[in-house]
Amino acid sequence: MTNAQTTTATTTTTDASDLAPAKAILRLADAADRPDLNQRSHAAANRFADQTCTIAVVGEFKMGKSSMVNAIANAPLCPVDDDVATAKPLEIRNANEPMVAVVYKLDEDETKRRMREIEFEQIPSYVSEPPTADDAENVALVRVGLPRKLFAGGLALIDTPGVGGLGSAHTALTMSVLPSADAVLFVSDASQELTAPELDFLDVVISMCQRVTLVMPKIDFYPQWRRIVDLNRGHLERRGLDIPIIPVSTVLRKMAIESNDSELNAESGYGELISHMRDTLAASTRSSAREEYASSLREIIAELKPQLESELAVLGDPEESARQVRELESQKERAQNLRNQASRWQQTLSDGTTDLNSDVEHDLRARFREIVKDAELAVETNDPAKTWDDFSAWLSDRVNTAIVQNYTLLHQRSVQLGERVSSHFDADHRAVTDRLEIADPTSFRSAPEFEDSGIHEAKGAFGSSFTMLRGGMGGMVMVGVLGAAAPIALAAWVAPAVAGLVGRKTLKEEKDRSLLQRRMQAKQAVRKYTDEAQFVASKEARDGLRHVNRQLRDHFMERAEELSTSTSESLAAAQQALRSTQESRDKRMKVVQNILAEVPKVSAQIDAIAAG
Amino acid sequence: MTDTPRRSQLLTDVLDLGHQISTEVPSLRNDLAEITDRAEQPLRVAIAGKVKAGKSTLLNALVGDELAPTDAGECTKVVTWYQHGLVYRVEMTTHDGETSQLPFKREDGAIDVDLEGQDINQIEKLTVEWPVKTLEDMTLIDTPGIASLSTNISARSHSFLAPDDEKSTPSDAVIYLLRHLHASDVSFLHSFHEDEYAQPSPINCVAVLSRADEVAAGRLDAMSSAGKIARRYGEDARLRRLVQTVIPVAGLLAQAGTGLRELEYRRLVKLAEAGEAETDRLMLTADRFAAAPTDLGLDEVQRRALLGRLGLFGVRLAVHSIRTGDVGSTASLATMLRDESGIDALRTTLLDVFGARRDTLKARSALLAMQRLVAEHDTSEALDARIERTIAGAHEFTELRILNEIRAGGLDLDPDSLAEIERLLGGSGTQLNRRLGLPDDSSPEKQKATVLEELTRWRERAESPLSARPLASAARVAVRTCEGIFAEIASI
Repeated sequence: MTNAQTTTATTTTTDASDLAPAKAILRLADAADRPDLNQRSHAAANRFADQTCTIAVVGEFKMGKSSMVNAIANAPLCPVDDDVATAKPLEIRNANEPMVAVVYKLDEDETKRRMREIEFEQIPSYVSEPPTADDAENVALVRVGLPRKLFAGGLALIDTPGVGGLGSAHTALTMSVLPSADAVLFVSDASQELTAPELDFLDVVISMCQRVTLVMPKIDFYPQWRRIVDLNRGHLERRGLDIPIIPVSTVLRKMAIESNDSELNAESGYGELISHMRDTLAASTRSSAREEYASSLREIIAELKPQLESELAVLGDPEESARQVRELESQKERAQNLRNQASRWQQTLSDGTTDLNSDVEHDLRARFREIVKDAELAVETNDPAKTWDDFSAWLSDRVNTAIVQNYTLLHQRSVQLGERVSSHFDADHRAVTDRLEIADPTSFRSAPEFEDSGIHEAKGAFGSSFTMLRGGMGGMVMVGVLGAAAPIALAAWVAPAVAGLVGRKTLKEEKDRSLLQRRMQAKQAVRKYTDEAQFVASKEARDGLRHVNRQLRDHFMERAEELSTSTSESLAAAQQALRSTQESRDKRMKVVQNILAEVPKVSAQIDAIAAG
Repeated sequence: MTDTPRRSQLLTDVLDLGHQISTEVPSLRNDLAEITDRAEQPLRVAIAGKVKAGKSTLLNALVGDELAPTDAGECTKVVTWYQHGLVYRVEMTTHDGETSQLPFKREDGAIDVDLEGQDINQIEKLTVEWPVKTLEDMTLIDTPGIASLSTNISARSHSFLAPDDEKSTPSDAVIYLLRHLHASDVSFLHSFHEDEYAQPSPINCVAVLSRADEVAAGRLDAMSSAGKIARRYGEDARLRRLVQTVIPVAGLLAQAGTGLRELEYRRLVKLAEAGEAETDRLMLTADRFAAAPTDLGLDEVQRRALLGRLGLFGVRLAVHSIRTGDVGSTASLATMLRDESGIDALRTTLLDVFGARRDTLKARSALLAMQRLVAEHDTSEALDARIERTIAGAHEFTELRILNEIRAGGLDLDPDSLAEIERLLGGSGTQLNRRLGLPDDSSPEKQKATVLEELTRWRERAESPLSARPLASAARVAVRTCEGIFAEIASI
């Protein structure tokens, strides 16, 4: 397996004027002898140049998401079928050459996701339901690079599996995409107004990503689509949601591209959709990227300027030096305190992590307790032998939902924690909270599949002691009245057949007794399964939290180091000035004065960047 | 496909049992009369499904008349019964049990009932009586959609189809409409099957993949694509245990096919005879078809009317068929639309499976109701025992139970044998030839030979020490069914 390099090209939304302040800062940092800040400015500039607005396409299944993504990308990438649904997220971004790769799930001890390049023809074997490729199980998403003007403008699209349907496990997969998305296209076709489950899902989406647009495809087919748009607008308004609605027709878009007809393209709604993506969604990502870039640069200036100024002060007035040195020493102490294990931000982080840990754990426990309660009630009121399949599907569905909701909590609270910690530093640290990488909830799903928990082996075949053992989770095998081991599913209709032999009373007692036994077994199976699932989920949550904690600590530690370096350098410069000759002092003074003279200009440039 | 007006022996026995109980326990007379009366009424078929699944459209197609109002927005808000009557009338029943007759008018075909300011939350049901032949042997019940945004409407549907208390369900059979299968569909279906020996059972429920014409976004092969999806759903183990079968139906096509007018046909011909480029340009989108300027001699109102009646897919299909010469008259176009819509396949299934099973289903409903009644009133154990004996003794119920077990996947058999035993036990109709898998006009000799062959095969399985217990039991039931068939042939 080869590790493909990230071949996606950098986007070209930045121009020379955006990079000018970064270049000026390089000179400042050089003069101040601060290679660390030099590096930081470089990284900020790179990040800014790389910024992409990632748009996730979500919605219930069979709404036309994949054909919509294809129509936007103008390439048949996502397999489209009347029946088959999408199984894995597919990401499309800019590249100089067309390429496609699978991105693997993050292993426990890995920090970077592994990728492997594949052929375009192989896409369906990963993306279509059910995936047929051998390694499909470990693949988190399929990444496609395409040379397209739209994507080069700083956009990436992710097609997600539809929510709903028989295998609603897809919900977790779709949710895992949301934290990294900058905007969401929520797809619901023009055939009917939004339903209650759709609006519930919309609420969840909005809680993870605020920038949502409702896209309504298939307007070519439904004469009444305008009514549906109005009805949907009403539904959104009643919920207090201010979400733009864009109706589109993929059929018309295809024809527009084939015949190169811009009027048809406008009629298809795709013109509006694409300009909305480019001018509203991407633009607002760009403006927040600008803000982030500008704020990083300001931070650097804020560190460089005082250092150079104090050096200048010392150089100009040696008498001042002693006072300066004292001042700097106390500053250095403060900066060093920030690096200290016992500093307040460290305290906030570690307390916050502990709190978060216990809150997440508690939340998970509460959810599972609720599930077990409901499950036991269901077992009490039904015959497990008859309802087992549906029951187990219901149960694993509930467990998955609980895990996803728990994950949402972890996500929101982690971001809040990052913000709290950053309040100990003067500068704005949006960068780190925006980019927090939080383990993907699909890895949570390594919990055992309840449905495969032995009940099927136990059914149909002879209920031998072997299957009883293998049954493990289920163990749903019972010993019938006639002494032979019989699968429980039978009891219901075997019973009347033997009624004549056993007598009605005994039979009824036996029926009751075995029902009781089945319920007991079912409850045991429920508890065993939920215990296991909860164990796995809570371990995953703890690991995820540890990862978050590490990211925050590393980020702020680095900031603390820098601050400390910055004051040390100032101190060293002041002491140096005290020792050096008048001549060399004058020379140095000139250099520093020149450099400092640039600062207002650079600041103005930075302001200009922030303003767009 | 023969109707079976003759009451089955089982139902007669059950009704007799009811009369016997009411003479022994006079206090139950009224309640029992209600139960036995119901058993003599037409089969009650409820049409259920998510919001906007096309329930009312399907109902109209089954009735063959536009009775239920249909609309792009959510529109059925009250449970409405459509039953046969000698006069046209609409009656409202409130939750308090009061009934009153309501005035109504027909607008664009559909019945527009004037609720006279009654709060719809207070209405339990509307009953529409209509003198139409299609309702003679089947009362149809239109229900509000599930997963509706107006939660009240959803709740109303739920409480009708899956009552929480221990009463038997008001309907004998259910047509469940799905567009694409959702988890909430499955959980709903499951809640519907809640009684003791039909749980969860495919014996009283068929699923319809509705609005099938929309599956392929209006491509001409939409129906075959929908058929494929329906087959896949039909093979899904979870769904098999809940419904008899999954049938794709395009309600709009069926409705159009039922009441196609000469005028509409002539307009379609006009479209088909115009230049292909011109018509195809028009039929590209619904918007264009309704409003684009054209010199075809069809104004916007006329085109809009066509679109409303047939849908874009219907228009495309009709124009295509006229163009290729497949249809040449109003009648043949109507037949083609009905054939294509799948409505006849649904009707056949309803009549073959539910119709033939109707007496068994009714007997079952009646027995269930009696059992609960008797249990509630703490009568002698002997009565309870008699009811239970009837339940245990009826071969029809045993067959249904085995059919359920097969559907539940409890039988370890190869697919061919599974299909065979399902058919034999009346899974696709209880008529003799259907059970034996023979053409309708088979000779008695052929029937006899086939049944003997089946008898030998299943007896071997029943007696083989290698057969697992469930298989052996199922095989014994199959043997008894074969014996019954043999006796029936011999008596002819």
